[in-house]
Amino acid sequence: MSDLSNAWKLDIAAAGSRISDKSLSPVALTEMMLDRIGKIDSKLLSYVTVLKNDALKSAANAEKEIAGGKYRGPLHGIPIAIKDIYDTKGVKTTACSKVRESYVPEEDCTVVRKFREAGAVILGKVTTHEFAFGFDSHPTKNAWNLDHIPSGSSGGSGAAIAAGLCFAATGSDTGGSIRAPAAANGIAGIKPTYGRVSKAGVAVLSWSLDHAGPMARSVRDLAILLNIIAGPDPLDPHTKDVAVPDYTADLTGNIRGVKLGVPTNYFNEDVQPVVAEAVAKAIKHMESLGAKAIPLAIPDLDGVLDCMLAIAMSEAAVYHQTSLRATPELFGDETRLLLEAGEMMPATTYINAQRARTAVKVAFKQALRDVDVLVTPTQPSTALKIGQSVSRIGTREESVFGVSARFCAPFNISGLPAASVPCGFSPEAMPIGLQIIGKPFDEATVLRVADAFERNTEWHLRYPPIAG
Amino acid sequence: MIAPRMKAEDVETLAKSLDLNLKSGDSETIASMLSEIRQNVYRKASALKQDAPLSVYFDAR
Repeated sequence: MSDLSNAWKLDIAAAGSRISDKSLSPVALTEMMLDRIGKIDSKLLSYVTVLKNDALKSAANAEKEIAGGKYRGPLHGIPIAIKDIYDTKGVKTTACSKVRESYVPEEDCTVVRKFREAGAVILGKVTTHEFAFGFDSHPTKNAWNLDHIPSGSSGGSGAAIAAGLCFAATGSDTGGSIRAPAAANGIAGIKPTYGRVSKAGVAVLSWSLDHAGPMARSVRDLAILLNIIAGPDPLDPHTKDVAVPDYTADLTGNIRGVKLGVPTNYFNEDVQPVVAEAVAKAIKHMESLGAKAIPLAIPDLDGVLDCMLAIAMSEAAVYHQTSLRATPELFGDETRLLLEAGEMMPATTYINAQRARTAVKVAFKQALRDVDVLVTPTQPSTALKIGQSVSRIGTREESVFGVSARFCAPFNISGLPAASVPCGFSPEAMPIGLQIIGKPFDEATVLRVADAFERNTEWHLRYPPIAG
Repeated sequence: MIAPRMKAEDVETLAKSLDLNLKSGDSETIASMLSEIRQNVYRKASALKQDAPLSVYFDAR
């Protein structure tokens, strides 16, 4: 490709293919992305740190290696961004908090190390809601409408990918923080199974609910990224030694005979009509591809969000116990309040919440016994406006936290793999996400279904006006 | 009912014992938030059998 003007619209698979045949230069690609960040990000505010010199140096190295016949794979020479809770050697990792304003890690976290080994070019660090504990991701804006939140906590990742300011980014997900911003910005994201991807070197929000995972423009890209980062890690005792398949291998577009479980409760309650309609159409579309929709009820979901909050608040309070006393004024008001409340959570509430997880896990296990995946809306509504503290859907009023986590958090509680892909737009041109959930460690089927839907629709090929 | 509603004064007393300096007005918000979470989690857990297990995520292999 000699004309680089539209190269930002490529996905990793396409850009990587052109890099491997030397028709696309990693240096030129990186320069183009840095130029776009310089022009666009003053409005979007998705980057915390831009690593111009490091990125250009990595790109030059990649170019030299590839020219010398050492092609590392599909991520070699591809510019990506890293959420600012992932440790990056020698680069400030602030978690978007004054508490960590001057923290410079001495080592890369495992995921970043793996991406570097795969030849990725790291453009910089992107915003997170403070310590990943929320869905606003201030000051970042939604790529589709600057008056709306990008959701979160991986809001910088979602907005930057949607605006074409990187080809992919890392996210982390404790109650929806990969899937919610993916849905809100019209991109793809996957929260893998608990234990599938190492969290070593990623700032903790909640040990037992946190998941690390990729966000990108296409499902195929998620598969490429997951191929690189999935697998056990001696530095993270939560990871499991479960065989990692080639996630790109099953992306055939064929979902004939795949059984889609469509919940008849919880996930269809208090949903914006435009979201419900888009998800219903998506299911019909998958049926037209040969999948079979099977309605099913999932018991034991009432109170699941409060269980998630009890666990997340308690574990976060422990993680921040020292700094909450030493420098409470350095935390943002919302984070500080949640941590202080977490300190006061009775141990019995925390333990009961953990026990209830087992019941939720069993309920999903039974639901998934007769189907291959579940499909739900990722969020009950499109992204809220900046400053909007309450969501109203019908007669239901919820906090930003509640509405953002309602359909995502059950899969942090259960640890099941869950992806979000774009499945429509509201009349106001705000993206809508479809959530696809699989059996434990069966990300391959989740990605296969998501890819089949994606390659037969064009929602992921729309670009927000800010992208130019 | 094992999870009675907390009051702002309860939160302030607890904060003092935990060496936490709450911001003005936060005790009310925390009391309301904790009351709701405690009650809902208790309600959910009370539906479990008494010997229902505690999820353990640490793998000692």
